[in-house]
Order: sequence, then C-alpha cells, then structure tokens
Amino acid sequence: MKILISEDDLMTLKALEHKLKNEGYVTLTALDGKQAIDLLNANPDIDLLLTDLHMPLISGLELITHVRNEMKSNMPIIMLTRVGLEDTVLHAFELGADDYITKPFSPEELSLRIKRLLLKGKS
Amino acid sequence: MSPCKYIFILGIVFTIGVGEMQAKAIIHSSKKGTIQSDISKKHTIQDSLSFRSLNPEYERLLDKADWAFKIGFWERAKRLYSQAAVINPNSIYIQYRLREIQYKTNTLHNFLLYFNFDKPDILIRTLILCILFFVSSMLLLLLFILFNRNRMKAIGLRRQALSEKYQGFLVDYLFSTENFQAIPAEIVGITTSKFNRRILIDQMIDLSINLMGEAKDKLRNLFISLKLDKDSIKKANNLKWHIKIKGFRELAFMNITDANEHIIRCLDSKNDILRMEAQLALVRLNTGDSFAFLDHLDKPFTVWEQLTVYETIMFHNLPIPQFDRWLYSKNRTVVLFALRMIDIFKQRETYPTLFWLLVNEDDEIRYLTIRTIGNLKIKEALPHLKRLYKNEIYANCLAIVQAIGKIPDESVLNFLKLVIDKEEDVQLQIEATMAINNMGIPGQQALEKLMQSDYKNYQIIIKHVLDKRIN
Repeated sequence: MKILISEDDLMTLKALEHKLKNEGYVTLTALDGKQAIDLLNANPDIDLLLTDLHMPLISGLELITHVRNEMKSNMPIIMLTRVGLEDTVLHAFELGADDYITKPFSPEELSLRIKRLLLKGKS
Repeated sequence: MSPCKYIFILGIVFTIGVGEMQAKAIIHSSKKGTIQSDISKKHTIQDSLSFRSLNPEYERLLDKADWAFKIGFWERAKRLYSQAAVINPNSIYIQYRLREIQYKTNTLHNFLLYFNFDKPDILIRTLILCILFFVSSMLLLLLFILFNRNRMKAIGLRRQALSEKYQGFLVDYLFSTENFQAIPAEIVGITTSKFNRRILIDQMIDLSINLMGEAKDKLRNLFISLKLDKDSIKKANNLKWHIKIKGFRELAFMNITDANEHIIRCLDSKNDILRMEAQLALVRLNTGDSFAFLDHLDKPFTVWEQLTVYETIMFHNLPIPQFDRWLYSKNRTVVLFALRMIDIFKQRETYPTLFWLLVNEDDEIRYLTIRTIGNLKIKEALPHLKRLYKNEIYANCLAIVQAIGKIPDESVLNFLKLVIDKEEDVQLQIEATMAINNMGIPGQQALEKLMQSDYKNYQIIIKHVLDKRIN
C-alpha cells in the first residue's frame, strides 16, 4: 500500500513517515502542496493521501480539490488539522475528504484510521 | 664719526654677534622639544637689545610670526618670518624658524600637516586623531561583524546538520518496534555537550508539539532519562526573563512539575510576557487543576492573557473546571474571565452564584453577568433583571433588554411594553420591540395592538423591527 504524506512540518513529516513505514506501508513525502501534486501525478498508484490543511504554495483544501476534481480519484483522504478549525474541516469534507485528525495526534490512532479507510476502500 | 659712536656701534654689533652665536649654540645643543622655548628666550634678549627695540614693524611681524608658529599656522608663520627677514636678513633666529617650518612641512611625519589649510596645528592633529580613531573603530567593527556573521553561519549550519541527525535518532527511537527501554548510545552520547543538548531539547519539543499518547509518554521518559529536565529547570531559574520563558515552555511541553513553585512566583512579575508564559505553563502543568494559578493572581489578568489561556486549554484539550469558583475573586479581571468562561462553556448550573454578581458594585462585572445570563437563557433571572433595570447605567439597561430578548417569556411582556412606552432612547425601544417579537405569537399580537394604539405613535419603531430586510 502506498501512502502520500503531505506536511510542511519536517519533524511531524519524519515521524509520520517512520511510523507508517514501520506499519509496512510504502510512503512518499511532500513538504508542500505543489510537491504533493507532482508526486500524485507521477504516482497514480497512491492508495491514500494524508495531508495537512495549512501548507505553503498550495493548501490542503486545494490539494483535495485537485484530487477529486482534476484527477477524478476516489483515494481516501485524511486531513491533519489544528483544534479550532472546525469550519475548515467541514469545508474539507464538502470538498471530498474522508476523515480528519487533530494535532497533537496519537500516531496509533492515526494508524488505525488509515487501516480502517484502506479496508473500506478495498471492500 | 666720534670714538664714542664707534664704541657704541661696536657694542651693538658685538651684542648681536654674541646673541646669535648663543642662539646657534642652543639650537644645536637643544633637544627637539625644548628648542623653541630656548630660542624664544634668546631672541627676546637679542631683539630687545637690538632690532626689536629699534624697529616696531619688525617687532610686530616677529610677534605675529611667533604666534602663528606656536599654534601651527605654518604658511602664515613662513610668510611673516620672510617679511621680517627682509627687515633683518641676518637674523639666525628667523632663518632657524624658516628651516624648522620647512622641516615640519616636508617630513613624512608631518606630511598631513602640510595640508593644514592654514588652520591651527593642534586642531589638525586633533582632527587627524579623531579620523584615525573612527576609521580604525569602523574597521574593527566591520571585522567583528564579518567574523560574527561567519561564526553564526557556521553555528547555523552545524545546528541544522545536528538537528536533522537528532530528528532521525528521535524518530527511530520513538517508533522502533525493538527494545523499548534501552536508550541508543548515539542519543546518550549527544548529552555530553551543552550545545548538542540544547539542540536535542529543541528537537524533542518540536516533536512533542504534534504528538500525544504513547509516543509522547516515551518522549517524556527519554527527556527525563537523559536528565534534560535539569537543563530546563536551570533555565526556569535563570535571571534573564527570555531564558526563564524557554525553561517554562520546555517544562510545560514535557509536563515536568518540579519548578512549579518558581513558576507561581512569576505570576506577579512586572514583565507582561513572563507573567503570561507563567500562566500558560501552569495551565498545562497543573493538569488536575489547570486554573489554580487564578487563586494566586494579584496582577490584572488582561484580555489578551485570557484569550491565550483559553486557546491553550482548547488546543491541549485540558479539563474544564467549574468557573463559579472564581466569581468571588478579589481580582476583578479574574471574575470577568470566569464570567466569560461560564458563558463559553455553558456552565448554566452556576446561575445561583451569578445572581449575586448582579448587585456587584463594578459596572463591567454587572454588564458581563447580564450578558452571560442572557446567553445561558436563565429564566430564573428574569425577575432580578427587571428589578435591576430601574437603577442601572445605560449600557447595562441595554444589556438587560437584550438578555430578556434571548429568554422569551410572557411574564416580561408588560415590562418590555413599559420600556417602549417610557424610554426616550430609540435603541432601547428597538431592543424592547425585538424582545417582544422574539416571544412568538403572543409577542407579535402585542406588537399589532401597539401599532393600532392612539396613545403614542409606535409604528415607526415596530415597522423597523419587523422589516425582514434588516432583521
């Protein structure tokens, strides 16, 4: 299973990458939305997108719009957000996001959410 | 010519000769520093005996030339001595002075003095010294800046390289599936240097910001095992406020309560930033009683501080206490904060305590209490609000009518009609009409009746309130 992680905080990105690699996933990482779009275009076999909402160049919301409207992909999307951005989260759901997790987050909880979404996608 | 005249002339020539020979001898024997004063003495003796006393023009020129020479007007002195030399071409003194001027203006040592623009030597020397001082200071400063910039750049590069290295170590350690307890030797090795420890702490804090659960606990244990908490406590006890703040933050992120007493002492600091950081640290460190710091707060709790504390409890999902505990605080800003929190967290059960604040002597506390009662829709407060209205200030009267408008109840219909009827202020009339309208059918029926009333023309206000374009 291939997961694209898009997160502008390097430390969090590394932590997520390491955690998911340990879980047996193949990971691709992007530090901003533009890199994420490039990786999405170059790797059509990505199974899940894990994205921060606030990133430089292209935001998480724009990235979700790109996946759903431009790429016409149904891949599961999980958002990483801060507390207090409920309106943005609702907007992201409207755009086609599947789930969200607030920072600070538990890597174990995130891992479970990813598993659940991937299983749902398979079935 | 009579022999007396011959003797007289010979005497003068002899005197001049002896004087000039003595002057010459002094010039040759004197050291550079003392030569001027000796010559001056000599020429005074010589000239007083000879030319000077005989020729006032010569004396005037020589005086001026000496003065110019003394303060370093070389060109002027040279000119005056030359003029004097025309009158007395045999004067060794003048020749010496001219040679000295020549020497002073031609030597490399005094090269700059040659361009003195006929200004005093002392001034030129002072200015040259100033220029030399400032230029050398500037050069030193430039060298210092250059050196420091390169040093900072080197430190930055080293810091970046180490940060990336430590990030890898930490992530490996936190998410490794192998032995959980053992701390890798490479991480233990980091802690031997103060600089490296500082970078490691920064990386651990960065990582802890976005983590919770097992990973965060593991990170905290690592922080304590490496004795980095001692560094943070040391920072918290530092005399410099910005280092203190760094210590507070590290302790708060790693949930280390050892320095709590010291942090509490900073709650009454004169430094606003330090005070705020102490509050935030305590909110996070007293997980059982996050707001206990409010009990110790004597300084005003500013709105900005209140907002920051609120943001912290929301961000870290901290437990929310019953805020009525602080409604009787001696610090009025703490009472205002408690009222705001009761409103935000909808702590409706606190209303018996809220009623007591309706008679508080502070206008702002009463105002905020009225608004909170309105927002929490506490019906039990309606009789109190009605009673309060008569003696309240304008802003609070408006707040009372608005609060009543949020608690639709027919029992206040007559009171609101009275407000429309008796009040001269349009805003109060509008709010009262809106409150009646909020009551639903009974309120709308009452408004219709009022519109038909001949007693007073209410139509404009009621039409305004009922206008769907603006409401």
